[in-house]
Amino acid sequence: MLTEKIKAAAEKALEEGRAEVVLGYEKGPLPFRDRLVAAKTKEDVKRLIWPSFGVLNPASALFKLRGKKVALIAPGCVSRAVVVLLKEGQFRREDLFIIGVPCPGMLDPSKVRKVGGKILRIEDDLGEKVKVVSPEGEREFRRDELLRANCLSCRHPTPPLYDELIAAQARPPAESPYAQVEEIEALDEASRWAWFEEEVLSRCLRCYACRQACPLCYCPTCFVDDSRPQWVGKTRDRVDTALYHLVRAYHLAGRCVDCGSCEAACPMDIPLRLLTKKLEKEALLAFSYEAGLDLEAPLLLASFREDDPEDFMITQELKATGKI
Amino acid sequence: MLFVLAKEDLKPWLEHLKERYELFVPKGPDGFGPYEGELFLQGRTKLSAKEFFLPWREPYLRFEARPGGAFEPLSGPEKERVVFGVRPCDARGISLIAKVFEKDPLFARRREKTRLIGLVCREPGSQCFGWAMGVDPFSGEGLSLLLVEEGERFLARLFEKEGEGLISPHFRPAGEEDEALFERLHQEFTKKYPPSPALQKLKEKEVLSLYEAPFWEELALPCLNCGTCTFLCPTCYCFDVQDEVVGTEGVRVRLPDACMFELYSRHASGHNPRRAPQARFRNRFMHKFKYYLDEYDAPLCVGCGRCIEECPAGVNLWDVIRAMSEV
Repeated sequence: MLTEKIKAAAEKALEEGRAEVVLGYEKGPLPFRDRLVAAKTKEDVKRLIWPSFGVLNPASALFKLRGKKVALIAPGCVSRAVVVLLKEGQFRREDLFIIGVPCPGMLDPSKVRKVGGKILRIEDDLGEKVKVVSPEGEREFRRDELLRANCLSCRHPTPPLYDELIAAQARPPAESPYAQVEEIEALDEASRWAWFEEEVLSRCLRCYACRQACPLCYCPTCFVDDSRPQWVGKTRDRVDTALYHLVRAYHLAGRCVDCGSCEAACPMDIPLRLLTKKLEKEALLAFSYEAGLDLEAPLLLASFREDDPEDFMITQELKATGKI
Repeated sequence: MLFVLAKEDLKPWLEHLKERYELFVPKGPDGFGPYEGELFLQGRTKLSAKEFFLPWREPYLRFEARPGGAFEPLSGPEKERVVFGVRPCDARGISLIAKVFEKDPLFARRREKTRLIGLVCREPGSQCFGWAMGVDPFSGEGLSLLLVEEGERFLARLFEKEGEGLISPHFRPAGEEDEALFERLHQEFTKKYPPSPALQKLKEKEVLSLYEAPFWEELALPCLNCGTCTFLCPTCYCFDVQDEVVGTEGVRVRLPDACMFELYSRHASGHNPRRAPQARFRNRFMHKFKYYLDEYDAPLCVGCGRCIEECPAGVNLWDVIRAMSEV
C-alpha cells in the first residue's frame, strides 16, 4: 500500500534527522477532500496517507515552514514545483528532503461529487478502479473517469528530483497533454472570448483560492493587492477579473508545472489551468522548455540563446513584409 | 396563516409573482438569478441569497472627482423584489447580518424592498448542521412565506400580515389536518435536532484563553487564507469600499471583502495587526463563535456547511468549534 510506504519513509526521515517535519496529507473532513498536515512526531506520522484527493500542492505550504528542515511527500508535480522554487532561490536544497512518489494520479472532487447523492466512502485502488460508496449502495468507475484533468494530461508523473524514491507504479505519461488546450485553440476568436467570459469571468468570485493554492504564486504582495497605486479594481467587473486571471497566468509562463492546484481549489469549478497550460504549450513548442525538470538548467525567462531565431518578434514580420 | 399549494401550481404561481415583482429563484447549483422558468430545488445553492442584501457591487455615492465637487447619495434598488427558494438557514443568515447592519441605509432599503420565500429541506444535506447553530427551519425567521414539501403539495405558512401579495388564487386555506401536520413536523424537528451544547461552552470561555490557545497553529496550517469560505458564507458581512473614478466622474461602491485577506486588515500606515495568516484564520472563527456570540447571544453561523464542503484546504469548521469549546 502506498500509504504504508509513505508512513515508513516519513518515519525514517524524522528518525534519521533528515527533517523536523514531514509535509504530507491526512484524511480530510469529507471523503473527497484530504488535508495537508505537518507531521512532527511518530504519532503524527500515523495520520499520513496517500492523498487520492490532494487538492493542494504541499510545496505551497513550505512558505509557512520556512526555517525548518522539511521533508515533502512529492509526486511528480510537487517535485517539479520544488525544483522551480529552488531555482528561483526561495529555499535551500539542504533544507528540503524530498520523498518522491511515482504518481498514480489523483481524483477530482468535482467529478466525484457529480456522481451525485451522499457519498460515504471512496475506495481508490490507485490502478484501474474507484468505488464510490453511498447509502444506496456501491458504484464502480474506471479510474480515468474520475481523475483530475491535470493528471490526465500529465507528462511527468515520476518526480524528477528526490532524495528517496518510494517504490510504486506511476501512471503512464499522457500521450496528448494539450488536447484540452487544442480544443479551445480550434475555436475562432469570438468563440474563444465567449468561452473565457462564460467559463471564467462570469463565474469567478475573486476569492483568490487559485492564487493562494499555487506553490509558485509567492510574491510578498500580489499585484491585485497593491493599493498605492491600485492596478486592478476589486469588484467582479469582468474587465478586472480578466486582468487578474491573464496577468496571473502570464506570471506563471515558463514556471507553471501544471500541478492543477489552482483549478482544484476553485470553489466554482472554473477550468483555470487551461490558461497556464496554454502557456506551457507555448514554452514547449517555442523553446523546447518544460519547467521544473532540471535543477541545473537555467530558468526559461532568465536565459537567452544567441541562436534564438526570435521570429516571434514583430520586427521579423515587418522586415519580411518590407516595412522596415 | 397556513395555506396549501398543489405542486403543479408552483410554476403558475411563480409566473403570477413575476408579473408583480422582480422575482429571483435558485436557477442552478451555483445560485440565484431572475426567474425565467428554470428552478433548482434539489438542495441549497453554492451561493446563498446574501447577495440580495450585500451585493457584489453596491454603488452608494456618485461624486465629482475634484476639490469641492458635488456628490449625490444613491439609495439602492427601486423595485419590490421577491426571492423564492431561500433555505431557512440562509434566511436566518440575513437576520444575523441585520443585527449589525439594520441601521445601515443601504441594507435597510434592501430589507424593505426584498421579501424572502423559504423552502424547508425535508432531509438535511450531507454537511448541514443548522439546528446545532440554533436554526429552526419551521420558525419562519427572516421569511415572509415558508413552503414545506409534503407529497404532491406544499404547506405554506405566511409570516407577515400584509403578505397577501404573495398569496395567489392558486393557494387554498389549510384545513385543521394540515395545521396539525405542520405542527407535528415542526415538533419532530426540534426534538430530533437540538442546538449544540458547544454554544453554551463557548459563551463561558474567556476571550483571552481562546485567543491564546495553542491549537490555532495546527488548525491554520492547511488554510490558504483565500476568500472561499467568507464569500460562500451566508453570514459573513465584512466589506470594502472603493472609489471607481473615470475622468471626473466617480462612483463609490461597497463590495464584499474577506477577513482572510492580508489587505483587509492592512492599515493605511502599512502596519497590519493580522499579518500572519494564522492570525486571520483565528479572527474569522473568534468573530463567529466568540465576539458575535457574546454580543448577540447567537453564533454568526447558520450551519449550512458550505465552508466545509467547498474549502479547498479541507478545513473543518467542527474541528475549530470543538477545539474552541474544549480548550
